[in-house]
Amino acid sequence: MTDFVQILVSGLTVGSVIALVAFGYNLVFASTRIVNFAQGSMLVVAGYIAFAVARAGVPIWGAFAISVLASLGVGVLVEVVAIKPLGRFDPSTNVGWILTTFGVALIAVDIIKKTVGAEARRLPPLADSIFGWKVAKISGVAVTVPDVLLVVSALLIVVGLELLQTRTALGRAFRAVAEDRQTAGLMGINTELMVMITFALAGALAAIGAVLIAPRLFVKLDLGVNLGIQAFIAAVLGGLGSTRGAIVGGYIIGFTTAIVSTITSEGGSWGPVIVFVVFLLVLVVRPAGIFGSPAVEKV
Amino acid sequence: MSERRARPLHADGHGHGAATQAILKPTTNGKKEKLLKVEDLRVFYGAARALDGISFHVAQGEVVTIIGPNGAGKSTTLKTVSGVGELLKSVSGSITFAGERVEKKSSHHIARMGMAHVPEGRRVFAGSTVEDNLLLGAYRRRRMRAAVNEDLERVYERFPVLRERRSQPAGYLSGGEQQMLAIGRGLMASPQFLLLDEPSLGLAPLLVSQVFDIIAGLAADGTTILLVEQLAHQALRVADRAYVLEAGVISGGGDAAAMAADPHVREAYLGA
Amino acid sequence: MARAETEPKDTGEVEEIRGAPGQGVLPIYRRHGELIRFVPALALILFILWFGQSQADSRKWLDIGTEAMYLAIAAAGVNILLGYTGLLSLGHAAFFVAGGYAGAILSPALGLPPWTGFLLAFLGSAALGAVLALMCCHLRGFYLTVVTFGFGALVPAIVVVAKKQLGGPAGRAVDHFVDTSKVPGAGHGPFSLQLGLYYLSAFFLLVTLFLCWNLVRSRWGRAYMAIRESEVAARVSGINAYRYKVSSFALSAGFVGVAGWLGAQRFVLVSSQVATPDQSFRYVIMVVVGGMGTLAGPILGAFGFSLGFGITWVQNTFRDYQGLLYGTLGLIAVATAPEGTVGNLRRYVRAYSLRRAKRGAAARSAPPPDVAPELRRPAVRERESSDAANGEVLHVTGLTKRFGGVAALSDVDLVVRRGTVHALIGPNGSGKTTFINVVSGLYKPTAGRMELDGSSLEGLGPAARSRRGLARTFQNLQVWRRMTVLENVMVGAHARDRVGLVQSLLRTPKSRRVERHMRDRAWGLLHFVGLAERGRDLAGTLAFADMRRLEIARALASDPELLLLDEPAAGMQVSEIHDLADLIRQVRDAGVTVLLIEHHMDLVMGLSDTVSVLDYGQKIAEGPPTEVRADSRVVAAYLGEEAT
Repeated sequence: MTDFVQILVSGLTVGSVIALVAFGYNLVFASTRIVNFAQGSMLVVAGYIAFAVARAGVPIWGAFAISVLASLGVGVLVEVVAIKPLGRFDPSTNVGWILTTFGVALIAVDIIKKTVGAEARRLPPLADSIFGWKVAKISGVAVTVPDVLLVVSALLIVVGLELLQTRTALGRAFRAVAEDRQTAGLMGINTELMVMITFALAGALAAIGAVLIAPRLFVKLDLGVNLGIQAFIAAVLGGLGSTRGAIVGGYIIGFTTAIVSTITSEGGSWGPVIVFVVFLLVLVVRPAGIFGSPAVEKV
Repeated sequence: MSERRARPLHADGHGHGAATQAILKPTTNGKKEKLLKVEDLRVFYGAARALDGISFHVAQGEVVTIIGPNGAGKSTTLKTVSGVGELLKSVSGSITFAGERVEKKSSHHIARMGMAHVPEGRRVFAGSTVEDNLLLGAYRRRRMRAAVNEDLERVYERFPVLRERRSQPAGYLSGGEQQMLAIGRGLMASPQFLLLDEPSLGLAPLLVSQVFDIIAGLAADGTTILLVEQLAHQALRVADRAYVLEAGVISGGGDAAAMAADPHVREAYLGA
Repeated sequence: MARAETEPKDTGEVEEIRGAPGQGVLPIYRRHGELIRFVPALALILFILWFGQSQADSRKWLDIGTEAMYLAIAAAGVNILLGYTGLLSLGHAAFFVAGGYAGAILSPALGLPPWTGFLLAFLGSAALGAVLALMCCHLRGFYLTVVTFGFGALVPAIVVVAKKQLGGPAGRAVDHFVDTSKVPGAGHGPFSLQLGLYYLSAFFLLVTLFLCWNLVRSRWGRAYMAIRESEVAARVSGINAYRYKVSSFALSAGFVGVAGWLGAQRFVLVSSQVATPDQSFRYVIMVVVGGMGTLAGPILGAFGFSLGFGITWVQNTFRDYQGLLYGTLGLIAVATAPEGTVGNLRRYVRAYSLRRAKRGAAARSAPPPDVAPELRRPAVRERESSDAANGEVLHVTGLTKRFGGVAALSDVDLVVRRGTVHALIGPNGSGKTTFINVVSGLYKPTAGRMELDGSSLEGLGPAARSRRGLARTFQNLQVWRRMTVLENVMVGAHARDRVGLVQSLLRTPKSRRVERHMRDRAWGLLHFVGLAERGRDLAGTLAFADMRRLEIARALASDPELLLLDEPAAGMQVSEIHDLADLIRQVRDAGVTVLLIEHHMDLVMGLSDTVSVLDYGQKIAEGPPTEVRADSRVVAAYLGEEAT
């Protein structure tokens, strides 16, 4: 029973952490068909911004808000640096945008290293208690307020993003830009602006993720790489572009890891291997991920 | 910003209905105003010259057609006018739309000025639903909810099949239905100027005449239309005037009825 | 389709040379015989020797030189996959480590001398690469990259899981290494170990270069490039794309493995520290900056990065900030020089040659070689059972294809008789192209049976159908633009000869013989369609109508039973259509059956023996042209009253 609760709690929280990062990949992919490899780095940058503001004495909610706002700008910056120059690169392979977004990620990591340093920083949780409730023990497993906040926020973001994407003019415009940029322009949609807005939103998502994750994992440099890769796999697993796919992918990874580390003696080290095997198997059955729609081949 | 500049052209204060805007009768003051004026337009794709100095105009309320053989540059003309040609290597000459020079403007700017381009090959957003496609057509008026809903109703009335399939992805529609959707999407912009590129392409003959009846209806309502069409006889039937575009050069033009009687046109494009 | 016509993809080629014949100017060394081609290779050898001699006393520079050599090998390996096959892997650093481990673990375990480690490294990495590729080569473009990326990120976990064998994060010492001071040229100086390793690495680099050189001039290399340029066209030309992608992946991993083995010799340690995605990214950057899809590019890139990093200033400034350096270079490369250093050099050379040619200074490429007359026309393969199908080449029954809820084809029966031109007409969207796609195996039918020459095509992919004798062209051209016209046709004959990968790599006498035959055959077909003058030009420089002819020549190169032409006259001028009609007639007279999809009525009526008409996915009429033309349903659905 303890094992079961442990798996449930750990799977949900880890899955939500991963999903929070994966949303960023998805949002960008849904309107540009590009995967922004710099998403993980954007998360780290946002985390350090929040940390810096909080250290200056601003309450955590203020730091959170400032980090979100600043990250909008970071997103725009990434777009200007990594996406704008792509005009002329050979379109037959995806090399161009992979190079630029990955390059930006590397640059960001080094800049952080140079300026802030690589040590892990602590951020206070957004809330210590919910209506006086602080922590619960279920079969000996502690469930804390930040954990609950994490899981619930991830679900709320799913709902919010799905509504944005399916119910609003902006969401329709995003999809139109992704499908056929030229024709989207004919509808009066400023396609370049849309791409920029997407990256800005992805930045904001990164900031939300960073602040929610920090109580569990701190703010640290290798968060970008490690979490970035897991989130990336979650996004592809669930189907790139699908928000619910991201959270399902996150849960799959979270639960797989939790189960594996509970039943194997060596703890976590088998986790990534099993996750990768699951990932491959899913792609064999569904090459575009669980909720992804395979592109129709045009001849 | 661009919308604000475009505003004087719309029936902004005329109750609800930029849709009624489409029914602007052109001849109110007796003199036809030139809505679109193209002068000495040259377009290159790489080194290949697609358009070699063409000039033409479309007056308010007119239906003008451009006919000509495959590859003469008809689609290029439309694309250049509406600003889609992101891949155009170089454009020279001038395009004036509603009094503004637009040859250097991007397509979304021009679209917001009230020009709707129904592209060749339909280009519906296959993954979006039919209704979303239509709403995207009204993107420039997205804040005028009531007017948009009214127009949506009107398009559904004109094309009942679209109402039936409103919540299906547009990719599942047949070719003819997609063409109706593309035209409907264009109308949703409540355009003061409609560009139609090969609206008959891929349609069964029955549908072709249906589409041209719709065009004739729009023309009767006073919509200004620039039409590019393979089926010259159909195009000349609905048009007021016609230009003949051959190898990137305008080689003839005039009153549609006269063109239909012109021996060269008859031989080359009407198969007589 | 119209998009393809009016908006040529910017393939990075010099655009001004489209159109007129004799202007697709290739780099000098591809024009003037064989000898001049060896100049870059010779320069490389001289550089290696000079560097070894001059830096024999500098341990630092010898180490850097060694690194340059093995990184060049790794980059050349990555280039096979990225540059030639068009697949991007972000996990190749894992193969570097795998090669190191394979050499370090296997050679003592098998009781083999240490120097055999390179072979074990190659085989071990290639095997690992093949396993991964088998799992991911069915994925389209970017998804493959995702899998390799995940795989690369897995290495740290694996070394922990298999701690006993691999030594965990700290790595495993190589206790069984090559005594490189015995390598010829290592001398007896204080750094003879390093100098020996340098020469050893240089030797392997030269071997790698030699193999890659052979590869890109072989059937396999051309198949890779064809997949890169258009996978669909490659598949219908008889290339099993999945298999070839896997082979390319394995080969590429193998070379990276050898590089890893050399790296392990240098550090006497195998460590997963270098297997990060960042490292894989570095390989890619080297290849891109040097020039993807060129032999010299990866070598230049690797040399540039390694030797450049040896400069003290660079080392001091960027030691801890390599990511910054590589990331910035990646951005700059994409923004300014998408074709890489070598690509840009070629562009300059080509532009220079073009200017000279315009002034009439240089006679350009040699005239096309003469080939035997029997090679100059389409051939019909020998049939095992000529009468099995009583004159029916293609027999289709009840063919149905649905997309979503829409039936593009419903219950179509069609029989194409041997030696005829059979036309399939109908309005756009009536299912003609779907029909060709189903018959050629690109789409799976929802229902129905297809027989070619009396034997069922069921379950066969496009490549297998091509080998059975189906060939096709495409309505929206699928010419392999960055290959020469001749190479395009040679790939068309891909399935007619079998030469293994190893034979191609080593350029054995058999592979040379086959190569020569394929080349002659391709020249012959180029003569047949009238493109021989353009044989050495890049296919992307051809005019539109010439590309259509090229597609026909390419399809004929497989000696097909049945040639499917998908709107060959679309976008052609009237005079060109006349030539096309003559060409199709000659194809038919040579014994190749033709199924023609076409809108141009004059062409259809003048050429066909039988005409079938599709409308809304159903066959509404069939018969000789005159009958079909008069059929009231056809007039109503397709021809219309006015158009005749």
